[in-house]
Amino acid sequence: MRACLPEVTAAELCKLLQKLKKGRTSAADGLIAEMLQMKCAELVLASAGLMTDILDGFPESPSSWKRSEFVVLFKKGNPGLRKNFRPIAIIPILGKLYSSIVLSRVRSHIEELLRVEKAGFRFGMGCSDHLQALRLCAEKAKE
Amino acid sequence: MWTASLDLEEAFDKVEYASVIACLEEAGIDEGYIDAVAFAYADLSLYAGLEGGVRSRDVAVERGVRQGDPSCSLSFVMKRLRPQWVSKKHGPELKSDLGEESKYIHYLAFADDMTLFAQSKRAFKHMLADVIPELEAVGLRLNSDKCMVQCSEHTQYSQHQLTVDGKNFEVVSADVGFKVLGTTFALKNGTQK
Repeated sequence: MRACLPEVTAAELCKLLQKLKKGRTSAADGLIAEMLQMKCAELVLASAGLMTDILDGFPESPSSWKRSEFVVLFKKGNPGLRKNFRPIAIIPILGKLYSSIVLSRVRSHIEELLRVEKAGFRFGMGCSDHLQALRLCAEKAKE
Repeated sequence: MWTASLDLEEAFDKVEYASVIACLEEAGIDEGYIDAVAFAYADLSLYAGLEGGVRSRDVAVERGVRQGDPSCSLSFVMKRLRPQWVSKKHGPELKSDLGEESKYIHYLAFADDMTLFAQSKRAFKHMLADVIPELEAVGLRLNSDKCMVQCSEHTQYSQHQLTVDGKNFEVVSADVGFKVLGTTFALKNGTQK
């Protein structure tokens, strides 16, 4: 059964907007985080309405969010070797914002399902917590 | 005790979107949100930006975590929601006090960094033999050259190799250990920066 999803509110969007990183380059659409962060009320409302439409399964969803620019960054070593380059994708900012909304809505549900062994990208399970767990395992091995 | 640090080949680049959606369905996430995630991953394309504003034609993208995408963590976390390879034949292993209730653990994972634990060499080999095809089933491959094994009891295994399914794993001394998340993890010495 498909339940009706709660609409995306301007307040919800503003909160997530603040988390977008500043000083990043724009994708093909030319939009950067700072433009949205100026909190022009009309723009935020229009974006929130659009996101709500997509969550409702509105058929005419924007396709420009899906085009990323592919940039190849040189890591180190011999520039003649392919493995010394790292490809990255520059994603349109509105696509990122949409991802954050979906993530914020499903995250708590997924957290409940994950096993305790699985750390990384999780609340309260950072690098140092993981190392502490490994340390405990080494202690157990000595017993 | 035996322990291994597993290195996955380009783990983040090999996440298939279809498998992320399948995991969400299995997890019983609201259908509306599964559609919402499916929308985010559908019809993705890339073009290469070249010098002088020249752009390549668009290429369809079907897998790989997009760096900078806030939901990249979601796709990666979902990837191995249920490790089916942890089976009864590996036996009860380490009693841990992680989380609320104490339980037995077979592995610890931090994003794509996995550390396996087993009490005996036999159980350990079983575990590796099970984890390899399980990872391959979701499109991930072990980079066995970069995987390391250590054993706390039998020092005669140090400086040797362990072979499982034709893959060789380097066995290091439990005094020296191997690196996990940039920190040395040695069974006999704990963890050290």
